Amino acid sequence: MEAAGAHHRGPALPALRRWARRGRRRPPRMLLGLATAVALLVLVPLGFLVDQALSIGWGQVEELLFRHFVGALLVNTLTLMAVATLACAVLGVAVAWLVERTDLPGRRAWAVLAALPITVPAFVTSYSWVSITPAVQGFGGAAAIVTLAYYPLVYLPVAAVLRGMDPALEESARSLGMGRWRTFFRVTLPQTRPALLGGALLVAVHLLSEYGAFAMLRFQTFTTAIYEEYRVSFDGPAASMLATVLVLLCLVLLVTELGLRGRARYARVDAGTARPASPVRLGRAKWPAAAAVAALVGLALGLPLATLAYWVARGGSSGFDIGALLAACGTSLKLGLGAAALTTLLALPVAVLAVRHPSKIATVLERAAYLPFALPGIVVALSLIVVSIHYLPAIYGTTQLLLVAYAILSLPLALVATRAALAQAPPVREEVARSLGCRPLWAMARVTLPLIMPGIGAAAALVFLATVTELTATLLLAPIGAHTLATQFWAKASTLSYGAAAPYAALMVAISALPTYLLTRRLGGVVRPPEAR
Amino acid sequence: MNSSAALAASGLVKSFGDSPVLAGLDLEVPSGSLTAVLGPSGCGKTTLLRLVAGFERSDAGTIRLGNRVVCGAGTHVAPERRSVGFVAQEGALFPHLDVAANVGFGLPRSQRRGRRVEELLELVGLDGLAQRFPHQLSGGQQQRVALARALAPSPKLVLLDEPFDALDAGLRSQVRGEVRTALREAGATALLVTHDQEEALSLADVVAVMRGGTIVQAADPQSLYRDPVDAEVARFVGEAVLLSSRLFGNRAETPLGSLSTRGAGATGGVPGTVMLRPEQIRCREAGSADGPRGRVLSTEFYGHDATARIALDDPACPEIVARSAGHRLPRVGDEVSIVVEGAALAYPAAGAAGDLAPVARERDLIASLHGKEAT
Repeated sequence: MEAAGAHHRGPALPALRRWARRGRRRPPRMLLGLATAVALLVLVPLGFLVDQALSIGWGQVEELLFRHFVGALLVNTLTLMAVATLACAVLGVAVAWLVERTDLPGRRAWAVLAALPITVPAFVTSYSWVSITPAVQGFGGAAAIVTLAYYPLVYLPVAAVLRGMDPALEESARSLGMGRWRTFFRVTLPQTRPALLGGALLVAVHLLSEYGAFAMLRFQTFTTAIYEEYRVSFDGPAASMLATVLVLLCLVLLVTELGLRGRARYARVDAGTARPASPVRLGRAKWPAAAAVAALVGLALGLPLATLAYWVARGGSSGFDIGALLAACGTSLKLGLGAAALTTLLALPVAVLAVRHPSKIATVLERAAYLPFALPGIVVALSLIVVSIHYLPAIYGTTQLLLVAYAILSLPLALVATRAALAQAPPVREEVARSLGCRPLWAMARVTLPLIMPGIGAAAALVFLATVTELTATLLLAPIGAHTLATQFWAKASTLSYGAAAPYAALMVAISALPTYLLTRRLGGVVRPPEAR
Repeated sequence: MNSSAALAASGLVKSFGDSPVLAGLDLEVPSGSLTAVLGPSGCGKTTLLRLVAGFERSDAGTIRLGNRVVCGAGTHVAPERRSVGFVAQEGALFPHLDVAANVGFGLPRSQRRGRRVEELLELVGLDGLAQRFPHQLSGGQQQRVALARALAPSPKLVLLDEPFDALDAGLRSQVRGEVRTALREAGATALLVTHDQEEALSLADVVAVMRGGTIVQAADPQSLYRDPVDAEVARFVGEAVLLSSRLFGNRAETPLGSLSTRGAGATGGVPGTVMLRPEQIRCREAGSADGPRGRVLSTEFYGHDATARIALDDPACPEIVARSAGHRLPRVGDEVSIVVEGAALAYPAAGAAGDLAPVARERDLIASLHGKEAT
């Protein structure tokens, strides 16, 4: 009495079977509904751009896009992006290799210090340079300064790969007769390629979205041009057409990044390397190399901090409004915490759907939630303004709308952290909890939630960081009378009141130091929770 | 339906996509027993457990727990309402809770830190470890905590999904014994799935052999070993020597000579297969007994006993395996005479393992030999 075909199943593939089994379970309707709502929210800015383009007609689109001004912007933006991204790649890899693979004096300290410029927003770095000399304004200065601000985005992932790399690879290359340099280019560098390309693309997307630094450095890109168009004509189609081009550029990068990330997963090196690599001896190059790293850290981190300290001291002598400073600080904290709460709440249903109920629809919704990665703050702000004025005038100019903008912008950050944590908490524990009498949601709350709490905490910290240092969307969307550290800093700095601006920037950097510290400690420590064997 | 069954599943069907996993499975677990479902990896054992626990829905069939239908046409009782404990493959302890909180997880809030938790920890021999966290326990201790946690709400049935699989071989038999004792003392009814026949035979009161999505035989361990329903079960449960034969009532003509048989009687030289256990086959010094002669190809020594693989002089006969006490092991290359003790189990061809290709080939060979004799 055996079913037909039962004999032909052959040796089973339990993993595949399990996968198929999970795929079959239908996702709860409520979860699907919530995730869909989140994805739709994220699609509002894109929908706005498409709607604008359709409503003004092809003739006007042509008129607005195919003009000398747009061409010049394109050249400006793309050359700067190419030069600075390349520079970040070279610097990032060089520092990572020196710090992780050589006997560089003080490499432990440099490993931490070289990552720290990430805590200083690019517009603050630009401000500190401009406050020293206006000579940095223009292409060369802009390229150099954004390189100093963004190279850690390449340095961090590449250093992580180098740290985890099996030293046997390099040793094998050397034993096969390759010299030190050939080993580096033929073995070491290819290993870091996914991390390097991923980091470089991240830099490129950041450069496309950057407003504050380029405005400060008087270098015109798409972002600064959109901002000016918006200031001039408020609801004008010119701004939205420029925004469309900008989003298209970002989407190209995003698609490239997604493709690379898919492959990077296979290239990942096993974490548990038993043997630390014996470092490359730099010999006579040792001290010059250390000097070079010191110079880089000095320019990227030391100089902005020193400038801030200098201006705070100067400004302190001329007296500044401590009440306004504290008020702005309070607003920034409130917005940061609010955005952190809202964004993690929005990320949770998408993550649960993607991890626990994988299906075609789940994949589509998750991809959609990653889209804001390619949405510059200025585009999100612009679209929310216009959409709210047209459809929901009651929320225009409110804190809620600003929080929504933050949530859209930082959803990918929260999603990455939440998803990773969920993926490490297998569903079997929830099943056991249910067999012990827990209803599904309660089982999730009692078992899975505590387990993914560190991941949710990381998500909240990342969102908080991004929100407190966010400038562009805040400038456009902050309710009248609401001043954050970033907007107050910007108001003072752009009227050249460097001394008055400094305390706001200093406080902003100080506030973002704590979550950064917590995050790096978490990343540096045990990545996996102690798991039952 | 047996009223004393803690679990009665009938006609269970489940497929994932195009691949059928359960094909009309029937199983009864007597109250108070430890029943093992034994089957090769991927035969659907775990799916069966997940259906009983309520984690999956069956495509057809019914599941009763006691007198209550928990799964049937239009009925699906949620896992949390079934009162069925579940011990997962690697324990699946909650890593954020200590041992006491893990064990008390399924108890009402008032009892979570009370006497009941202590009792259960004593039961599994882990008293004193209440404040430890899962990562501070050995694999065996984790499994015992998982069992205590499953037993805490006094479930009607405890399911164990290959619970000893993740343990080291040395630890396995010890933890097995401890788990069995704990289950007995708790008076629990348990259903365990495993692919390890030694585990199933040594641990369970009833062993149900699963194949192709159904239970092919369920019996106590001795009966199962003595009287497997077909040649395939015989080979899966312990080692078996299978010989193509002609059956004549309670005797059979086999390559090892004429043997007495038991099992399904068939007369008139019906072709079939007989099964012998290696311990029924004795090696004697060549010429000291009447049996067929052969040569020892290889030996495996286990200490308490040993097996020898023997090629018979008759080229038509397959290689056979003989088991003997460790100190009587013949040497490789020795010439031996074969003596069979006790009766062989006979399987007439019609009902015998239909898809046993090697046996079929042997059978053809034997048939042609017999043909020669006839001419």
